[in-house]
Amino acid sequence: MKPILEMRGITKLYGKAAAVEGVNFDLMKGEVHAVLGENGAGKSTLTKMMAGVVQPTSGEILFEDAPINIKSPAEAVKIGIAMVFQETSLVPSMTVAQNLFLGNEKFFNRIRGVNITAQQFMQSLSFDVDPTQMVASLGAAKKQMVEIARAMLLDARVVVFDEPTATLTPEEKRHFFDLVETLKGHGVAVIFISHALEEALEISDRITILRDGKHVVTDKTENFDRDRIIQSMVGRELTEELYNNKKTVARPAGERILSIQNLRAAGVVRNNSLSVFKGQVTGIFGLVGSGRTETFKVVSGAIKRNYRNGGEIYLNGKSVRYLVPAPSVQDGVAYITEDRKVEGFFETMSIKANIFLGMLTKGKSARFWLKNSEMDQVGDKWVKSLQVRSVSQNAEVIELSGGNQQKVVIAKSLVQDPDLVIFDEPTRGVDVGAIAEIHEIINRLADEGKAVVVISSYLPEVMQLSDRLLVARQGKVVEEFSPIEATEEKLMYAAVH
Amino acid sequence: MLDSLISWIGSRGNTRGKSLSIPVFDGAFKPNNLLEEATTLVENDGLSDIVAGANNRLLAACGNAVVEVSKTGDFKELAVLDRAITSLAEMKDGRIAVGLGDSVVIGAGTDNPVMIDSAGGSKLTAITALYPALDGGLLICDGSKSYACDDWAWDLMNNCKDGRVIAVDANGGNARVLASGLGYAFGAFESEETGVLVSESWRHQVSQIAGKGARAAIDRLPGYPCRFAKADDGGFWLTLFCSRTQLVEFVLKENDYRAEMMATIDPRFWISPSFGSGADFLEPLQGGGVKQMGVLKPWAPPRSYGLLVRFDAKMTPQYSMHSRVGGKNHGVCAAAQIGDTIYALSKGSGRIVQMSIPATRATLFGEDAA
Repeated sequence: MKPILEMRGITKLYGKAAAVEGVNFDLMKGEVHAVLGENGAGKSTLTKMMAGVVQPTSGEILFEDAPINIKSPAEAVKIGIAMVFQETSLVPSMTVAQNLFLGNEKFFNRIRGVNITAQQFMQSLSFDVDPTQMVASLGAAKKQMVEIARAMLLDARVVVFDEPTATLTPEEKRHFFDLVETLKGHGVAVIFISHALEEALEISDRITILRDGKHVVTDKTENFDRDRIIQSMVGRELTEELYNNKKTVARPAGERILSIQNLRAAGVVRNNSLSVFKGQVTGIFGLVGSGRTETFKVVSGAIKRNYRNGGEIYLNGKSVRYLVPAPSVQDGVAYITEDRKVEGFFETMSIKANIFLGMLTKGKSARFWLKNSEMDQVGDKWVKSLQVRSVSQNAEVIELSGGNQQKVVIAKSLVQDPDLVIFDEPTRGVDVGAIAEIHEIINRLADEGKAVVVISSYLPEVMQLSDRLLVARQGKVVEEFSPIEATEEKLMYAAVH
Repeated sequence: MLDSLISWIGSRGNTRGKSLSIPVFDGAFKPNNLLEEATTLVENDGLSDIVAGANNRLLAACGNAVVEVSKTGDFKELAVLDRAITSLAEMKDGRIAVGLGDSVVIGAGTDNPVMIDSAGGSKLTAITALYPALDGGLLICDGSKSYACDDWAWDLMNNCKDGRVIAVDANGGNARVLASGLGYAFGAFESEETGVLVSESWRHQVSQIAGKGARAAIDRLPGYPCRFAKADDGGFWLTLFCSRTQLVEFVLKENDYRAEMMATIDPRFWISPSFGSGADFLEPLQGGGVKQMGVLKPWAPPRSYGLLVRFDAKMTPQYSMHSRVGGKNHGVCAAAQIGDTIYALSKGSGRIVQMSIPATRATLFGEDAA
């Protein structure tokens, strides 16, 4: 079989640093090709070159044996290469239908016609999204669906998915896998970038692994297993296998630090009640839209509960109702967001400035004079403690890989010395090496006697970490499991039925 | 700005926007069926209290008599009183103390019983629980000044908070009111680690006696706390005779409704907590166990519930045993630990049930925990 797309000796330099160096890559017609690697391995850069987002410094790209020079994403789309980006590129102030047809509008557009076409198209993909809804009002999973649908609508022959499943729930993932199968059936070649190794093993035909911008191996999927992938990705064997050890002993519950009673908020939290105890990791599992994030955003003051019949929140036995996050931080609550790029840090500020900001939030009074030496000291301590890897201390957070960005967000919260730490999707978009380190931080916090909440849509993660497992469905916690009795089937059944 | 203003107005006593919320059964209170599935040792409608006596004896108050319950469930009569016994304790010196509603008898079944019928200048009214004090004396719970033991529901529906806990010495003298104004004193406990504890059913809390009053030591319990039992390896067992429901909490806020209910309806059929349910079709929302089209109504609040909770010496709940909606072993109001076995008295079913503690721990925490 001839490759539809081929890259020979591709190199991309940023200044003197090589993001991708001498990589050879080929993609067959109708195959699903997974590209794996740690954050910063060069996966996104490689695929961005295919999609015309960045230009290679050297090397050659061939499309159906003909050399091509893709100068822009529009040109790539014309050739038949579409990319679904990790960060959605939708216009939030437009409707789903308008976003689908953006750039391909007819001279005269009939809104109703656009909506109907969009509706039919979304239905053909089994995506349950209302085409008349504003994109800003969609959740992450639904935005991703629109993004995927837009690529499909452009009739692409090569589709690049960059972390397509990171924001999808298990059920939505099944839809996505079906979609990939359909594409494959139509002879469309799919490039699939993911941190979820099981997904790559499940749906891909071939796997390419990159490390530090260099090609490590390309082979048929059946020749890989989890261990071989991890070893190729990180260049070492991880001391402890992630997710493979079922938790058999749970930490005993300490004092009850947080009690939520009959909480109602944001239209999605409906009569939710739960408790969180010191010295334990409380895992919250549920599908997207089950109100997990909103519940803890209310606890941290990021959003407000309903004014009437909004329920009660007790922190350390005291009834609290935070209108803004600052008082909750001062009372020892740290919420580590699921959307770090929007809510987690100031991307153009340095690592240490971000961490220092966290500390300033904890202060009860405003400070006029800030000492650089104090910022350096605090920054150094936490960079060392959480092993944030960067070129320099003064590096901007945007320059870091996903895992290191997440560590900065964690450091920014932990510097406040909180009693209750809420991790919302702590390892989303984080590579395997950093996942192990973040898990270690979570366990360390619980061992130190802090109350830790882990909200995760990834079952093996929540099962691996939690001393108590709560399952949320339709806005409230519906079941509690101990790690001993919990199985993936039981948790999923509780989350769905 | 507006939020701050509204919150300030709310904090001035305006209850608009306040929620009617109750604590949830989670963590150590996570529901199970252990109490419902427990082995029944004996069944008798007259049972009102149980305690662990010296030499691993299980003592029970049944009707007018104090009995020793054998391992096969047979009764051996130890003392007979002239009235129904409402509470029972074995003192440090081995004498049996009993509550008889409005009085306490120390040394029941002996030739020289001592009777106490008043303390702090007022008569005793509702002796709900007795517990042997560390100094050899006795702790007495006088649940209410206003209503007798059997009329506890009246006390709740009238929002009375006039219970007392009283300490007397080994001879029944030197009566001291340790705390008053309690929201129904329904159990007392004393240990080196915890000091004197008293359960306040209507406040859903266990209070610690400090100085001349009581302060909440375990608050926001999901049920109505009742009597205590000493645990062998530190801490205690706490019984809760019913779970809280939003319906009852709501009724407690509605004064006119309650007044009419008390004036016109038989107390057995009030919307109030209950030791048991399902005996009469006139009961409101019978345990949420009503089936329609063969389906259990999940939303119906339970009228009665069975709950026994193990607390450690730091007063942190460890685990609990439940008899849930639709079960029988409801209204657990007394417990006694003897060796590795915990006995619980379910007033709703009139049963004493027994459970192996290691087996319970193994079920809840895995084999290693047993």
